[in-house]
Amino acid sequence: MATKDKSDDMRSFDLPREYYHWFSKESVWGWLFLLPTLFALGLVSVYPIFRGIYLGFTQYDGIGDPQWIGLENYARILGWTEMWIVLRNTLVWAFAAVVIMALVGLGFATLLNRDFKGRSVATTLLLLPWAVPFIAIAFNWRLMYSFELGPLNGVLRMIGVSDGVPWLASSRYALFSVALAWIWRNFPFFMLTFLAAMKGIPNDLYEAARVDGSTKLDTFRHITLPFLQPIAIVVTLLMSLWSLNHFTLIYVMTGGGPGTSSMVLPVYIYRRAFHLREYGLASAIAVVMLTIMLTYGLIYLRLYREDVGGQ
Amino acid sequence: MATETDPQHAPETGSESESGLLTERYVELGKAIGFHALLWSLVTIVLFPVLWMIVVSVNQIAFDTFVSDPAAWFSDASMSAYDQMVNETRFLTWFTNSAIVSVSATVVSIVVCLLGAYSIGRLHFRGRQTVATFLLITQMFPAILIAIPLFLVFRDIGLFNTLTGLVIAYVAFTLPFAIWMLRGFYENLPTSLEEAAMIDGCTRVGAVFRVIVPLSAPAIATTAIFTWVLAWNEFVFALVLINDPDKKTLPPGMSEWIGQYSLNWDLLMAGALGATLPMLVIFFFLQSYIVKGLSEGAVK
Amino acid sequence: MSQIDFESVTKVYDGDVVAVDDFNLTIESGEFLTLVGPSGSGKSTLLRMVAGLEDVTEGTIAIGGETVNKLPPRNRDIAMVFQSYALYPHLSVRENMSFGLKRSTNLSNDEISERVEEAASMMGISDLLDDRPKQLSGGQRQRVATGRAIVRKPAVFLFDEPLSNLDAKLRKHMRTELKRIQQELDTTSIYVTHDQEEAMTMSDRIAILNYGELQQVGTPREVYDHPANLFVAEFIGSPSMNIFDVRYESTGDGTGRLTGDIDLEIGDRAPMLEARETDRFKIGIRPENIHVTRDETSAQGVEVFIDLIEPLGRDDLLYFSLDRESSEQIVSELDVEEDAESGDIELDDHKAFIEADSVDPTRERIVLTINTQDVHIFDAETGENVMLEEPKQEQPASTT
Repeated sequence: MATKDKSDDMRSFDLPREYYHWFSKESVWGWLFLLPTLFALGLVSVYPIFRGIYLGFTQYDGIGDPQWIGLENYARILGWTEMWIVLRNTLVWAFAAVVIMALVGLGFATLLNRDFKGRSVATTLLLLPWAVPFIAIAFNWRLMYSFELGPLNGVLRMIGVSDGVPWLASSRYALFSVALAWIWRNFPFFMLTFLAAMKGIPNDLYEAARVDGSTKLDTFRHITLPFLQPIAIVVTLLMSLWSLNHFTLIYVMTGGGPGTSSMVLPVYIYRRAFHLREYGLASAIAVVMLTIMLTYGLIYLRLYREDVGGQ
Repeated sequence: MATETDPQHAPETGSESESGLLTERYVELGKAIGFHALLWSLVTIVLFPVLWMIVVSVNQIAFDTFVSDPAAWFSDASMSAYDQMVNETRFLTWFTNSAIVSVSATVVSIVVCLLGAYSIGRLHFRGRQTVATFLLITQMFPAILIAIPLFLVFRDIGLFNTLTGLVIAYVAFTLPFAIWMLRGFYENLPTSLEEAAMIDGCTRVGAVFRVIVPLSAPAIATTAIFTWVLAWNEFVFALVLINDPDKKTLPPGMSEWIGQYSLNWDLLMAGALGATLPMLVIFFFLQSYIVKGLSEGAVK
Repeated sequence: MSQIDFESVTKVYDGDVVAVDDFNLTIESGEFLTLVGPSGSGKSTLLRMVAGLEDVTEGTIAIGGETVNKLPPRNRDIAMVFQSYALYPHLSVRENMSFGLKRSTNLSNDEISERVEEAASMMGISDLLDDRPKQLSGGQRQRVATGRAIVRKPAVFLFDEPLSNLDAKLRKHMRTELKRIQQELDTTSIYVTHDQEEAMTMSDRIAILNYGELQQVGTPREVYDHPANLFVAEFIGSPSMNIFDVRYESTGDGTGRLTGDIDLEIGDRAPMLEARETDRFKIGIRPENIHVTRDETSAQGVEVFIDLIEPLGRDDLLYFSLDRESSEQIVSELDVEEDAESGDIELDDHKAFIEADSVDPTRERIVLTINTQDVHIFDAETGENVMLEEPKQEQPASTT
């Protein structure tokens, strides 16, 4: 209450009118209620980010004081071919995989978007991957890809195509294999989002199209898809952001290997920092990652506001 | 339309001949069978990895062997892997740590987020839009970039290797998401509700806790579930901020089994199922909240 | 007891949007005062300032002699009925009604439930006490919202467009009921509405606002018969007053006539027009004061074009225009309106109540007479009513 009384006094003497709003009741309560949030985020999010950005300009092995070396870290990073491989992998992981995820989700949503007995059971069962923790998914899919025990190679052997493929151990398939597990876990999110969006399409449109003699494929192409497009773009970008940040599956399933064939940025940064104790260099790479995510995030925000009308 | 019973269809075919009607029915039936066959085989394929996880956890068996001789799997099935997991590994310790950390982080996060979401979602003041955008931007910070300096700070102030430190990190980590989720719900409540409460004798805080919080109980439950799942799944902070094997949480702890027990597939699967169990329980009991949260969270 | 005083009350949003400007008014204890005006006129802001839901930027509001500017809503001894009713969805009707009593009084549970029962029977909702708001109809919710206000026995009732979410029939019924309850309880009430009919039928006094400025305060009869300015004249009354542009022509001997859209001898009212700086005026005539001329050669007759005759039962409503082009335009617009089946026909048209079936609708033209005594004359520039004797110093008459 003290804050409020003080503000009341201040306004009658000191403040010009245009500053009144900072001391309106709602403003005082608003900032008061935000205080714990801002405190927590300031301490554990904002401060570390700035410290991380600072570390990016230093050389630091975790002992003693960081040494300022300017842009040297960045110069080193950009010269590495390794770095470009990691970047490419990251893009495959965060874009290609997500687009496939969205398509799978769309397929299931289309299947489920009708009335039939068992609809809710099917929906629930299809959501199940979402209820498996990442660490369990990593174990689970290591088993799926296992040379001896894995069902994938089992099927290949049974139909006589090959003796089995070392999915996770070959630089050719590793990234693709982990991405499949990631798709498995996340397509339900797209499925649900699309289902919800499909329910929002006015039925008259379909009826009008049917009267006009459109086939099912026509209505899907000319009514369903255009309606889903804005939300699809937004959700895809959101999932890409989450994918960029994802760590567990790659770290546990391949560790980025063999070599750097399935290495993505977060795992790479982790190794640089905590295995090689190159905290400065690792931070610099993380700043590159931050730049990518922020650019991406800002595009997301913009589209979100324009297409979905969110705030 | 591939439904079994389609009431709208009957009148349309009513004028046709008896045989035409029959053919029509067979076509409908055929479509329905085709649809269900497709759907349920896809469902089976999606669920297969989980089913296989269960199969292997009780008896480590190759897929081709299992298909050719399922009886062999059945006769050798045992719970020995679960026994080993409980008695010979730190699974229970990690599980407990995970539970402590994720539940504490959720509780603290929800309390803080209630106030924050109320402020951003319902109070009108200059700066709220900026704060809301700021919250979204913190979601774009790479966890690993925060983890490095946080590790250095926690090491210096003695929070490294403590569950408390991890809880603090998780609160900040889950907060923006939780606020964002709850805010959408608060924005849609009519403002006159707490105005009525304030006229009826409540203070601003009283109105929040007597009217807004009870009203938003379902939304808070949804937010809490998602917050908890985030915390239960979190890997990077747990990996970086905890080194002591007895203080580890499940994800980083279990990740070490990959090297240690790489051939004990039954143990690995038992562990995976053990880590999944709490999430499954929550999933089946609070399914409607989750579905709502998943589908609306993104749309709003 | 609980008189409400507004003294130079001003509300500024975001530093530059003036919602209420220098508002002065005293509401007597037990009075039912209606704040009426178009949306954005500041009427709701005023009510919310009384409630304590908005800060007062400048000036003071006093309830029962005590300045309440800095009191939080809970300490102002007021009850409010919201447009959206704002019933707590998670509480039963009974809990909704006792919520305030539990917070703001020390009554025992028995006393509280007694008060709730009493208020419920007064509102006719005794059977609904254990229902949730979700189970109630719109009318029932309105009753509960009102019940929740009266159970508190506050010093002041605040009504924020409480009937606007009801259908027309129910709205009329609730109007009388609210008025009856207010009279029974004799509690000072401020009622905000944009519906002038509601204001006319319920209020002891009406305060008309426009752009945050008070235009006129008075009994329904006063504001209807003696509108202070053009804005009030047009806002109060339905169908609204007919307005015509005229010019004053002095004949030099202290009298004169009005010419323009219609011509009019003004006889003894001329001095008030002579005193004005301008010679441009607007005259207003209520639809019930325009009559069909029997003697078509009368000097005061105005020949007009008939657009449409709408039978209302007791009377017919004649829509007319002063010249042929606008008549044709209006008639074609009327057709469009009717095709669109929009219930109310609201056109920029002149209207007159005439005796049912007194005019053959196929006629094109008709002669109307206007009694000079029924004519309101407004200054065309300031909008002020020039016929009001006492000069209005505290009421800015401009409607811009």
